Amino acid sequence: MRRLSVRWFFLIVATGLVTAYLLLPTLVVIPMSFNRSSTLGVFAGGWTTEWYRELFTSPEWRSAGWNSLQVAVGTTVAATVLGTLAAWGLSRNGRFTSLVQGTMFAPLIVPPVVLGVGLYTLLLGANLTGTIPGLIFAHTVLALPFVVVAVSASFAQVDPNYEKAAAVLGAPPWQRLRRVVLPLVAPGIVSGALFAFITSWDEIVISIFLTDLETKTLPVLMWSQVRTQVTPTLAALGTCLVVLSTLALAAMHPLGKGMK
Amino acid sequence: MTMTSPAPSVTGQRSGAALEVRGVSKRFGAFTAVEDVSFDIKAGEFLTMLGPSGSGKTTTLNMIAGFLTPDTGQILLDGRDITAVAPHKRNIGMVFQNYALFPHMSAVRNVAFPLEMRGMSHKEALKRAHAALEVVELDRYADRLPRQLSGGQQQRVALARAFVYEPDLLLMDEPLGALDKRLRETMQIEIMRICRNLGITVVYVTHDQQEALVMSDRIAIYRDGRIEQLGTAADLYERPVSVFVAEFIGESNILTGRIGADGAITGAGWVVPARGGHQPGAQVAVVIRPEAVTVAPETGSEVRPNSVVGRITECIYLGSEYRYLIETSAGTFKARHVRTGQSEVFRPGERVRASWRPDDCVILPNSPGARPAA
Repeated sequence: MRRLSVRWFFLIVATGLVTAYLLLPTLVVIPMSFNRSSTLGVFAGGWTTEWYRELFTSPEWRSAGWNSLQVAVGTTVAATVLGTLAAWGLSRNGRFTSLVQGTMFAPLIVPPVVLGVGLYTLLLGANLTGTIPGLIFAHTVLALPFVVVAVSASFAQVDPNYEKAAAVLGAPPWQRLRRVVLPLVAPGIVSGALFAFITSWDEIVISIFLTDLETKTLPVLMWSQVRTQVTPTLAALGTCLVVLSTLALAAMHPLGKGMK
Repeated sequence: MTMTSPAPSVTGQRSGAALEVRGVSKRFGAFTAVEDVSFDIKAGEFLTMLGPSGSGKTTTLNMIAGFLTPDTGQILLDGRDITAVAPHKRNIGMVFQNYALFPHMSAVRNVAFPLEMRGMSHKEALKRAHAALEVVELDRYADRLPRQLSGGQQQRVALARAFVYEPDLLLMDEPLGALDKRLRETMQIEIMRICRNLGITVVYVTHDQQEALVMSDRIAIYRDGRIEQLGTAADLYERPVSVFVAEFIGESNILTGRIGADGAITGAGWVVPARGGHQPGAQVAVVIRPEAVTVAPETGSEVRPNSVVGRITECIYLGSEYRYLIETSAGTFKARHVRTGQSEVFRPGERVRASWRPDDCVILPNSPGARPAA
């Protein structure tokens, strides 16, 4: 009995420490965002919502948020459509399946800095640096493998006979995809789309190469603010993002259950 | 479970199409799955492809359905060459082994699917789908999802989905393979009844010989990618063209012997008088079905035509009949005797003579992998 409680004591302490280690860096932004001091990370002993007001009224933050949203939504649409079609094709195990798969997954392995340089060079030639379409294009390269992996996992669980049955019942390829295949792989598509959105929303390395003053995304603006101003507005934004992600995750939970 | 509904009103009195398969072959790399297969099926006929797994029957079915393209040969449906036609343009129905009901659609939506694909309005398609479910007596379960139905019910939904659009041809790939024995027997009769009523042409794949015998007008026996023999159940049972067919369909005693100079076939302890048709010196097999064997007390161990002597090793009582295993110089001999009041029952250890009528034995070439002459 005594030994058991000692074991429990250490288990609880260890769990507490690990939890704190994982959560503190995230949670610390919440008190910081209400801190009266105008320098990030220094407590002045008072509370304020000043930084939230600044976040939502400053044209710089609003423009960056709008840019991020456009890029993330654009990337989500492009990567989800392309990735789903790719996974559909790859599910048939043709002669070049592994070659295509390898090529598609390359962006997961190549260091983002290298991709950034390469994409910068390419987009410069196409006059797309510093534009929203250019960013969407670049982020889609990064997000595509996530969609392919998620949707392929769904395809692997779908009996190929469903598609055969649809064909023999008279459904042309497009109807087979729309009426039979897509509903069955929908859970994979939803999670792939979520991955794509987050990939683009968080992306900073390639975005630094490709954004200009007009098209700064939120991560890029945060990064430059940290370096120049160290304003608590960053903490306010961080808090908003934490709340948003938590809500999104909570919303996904029943959705995921409904899909099964 | 018995279904006695009248002929379905969903379909008119339109009969199925005739199918012609001409010299079809299919290779996968170095493996020849189907080699030079040809057969004709009349409109409304029920043909079963029977054979061990990997013998090419499912590959043939997939080529008829259009999932595979033959390397050589042609497939004609009512004289129309469909060899290169896409599956969705063939107007063929198919029931898969695991049914392949769309899991996200209710039973009635599954059945309505092929009608909607043919441009029918949603409302009309649902109406006809309900009528088709009535034929298989599942109308009450129309709104259930496939996973809420039992295996037999799913099977019947799959069947309704396959015939609701009046296909020219119905293909079935071991449709009863996943059901238990009792249900399988009920469904055999049920499928036959529905197909006959609809006058539909059916190509059915199974590896269960009993199922093939019960259901088919004709049976094609597959072996190593070829059709070994195609004929009625009686043809295959009474006049097999090879030892393979004789062993595959029903039980048989197979004696191996050699044709002598006088034309008589001689083996270990038995002789079958001259029958003609085979070269002297040829190795042959004599096939005798167990029910054609008469068992009598041994009255002398000399070699007599069309008989062999031995000792009973097993006597199995099966209610309507006795089965004997007899140890003879030519190997273990199987015999079946219908039980009647008068018939004598032999006990293990008794010496007997097993004989057969000359007409009841079939003489076949006996070389390894021997095939019937084309």
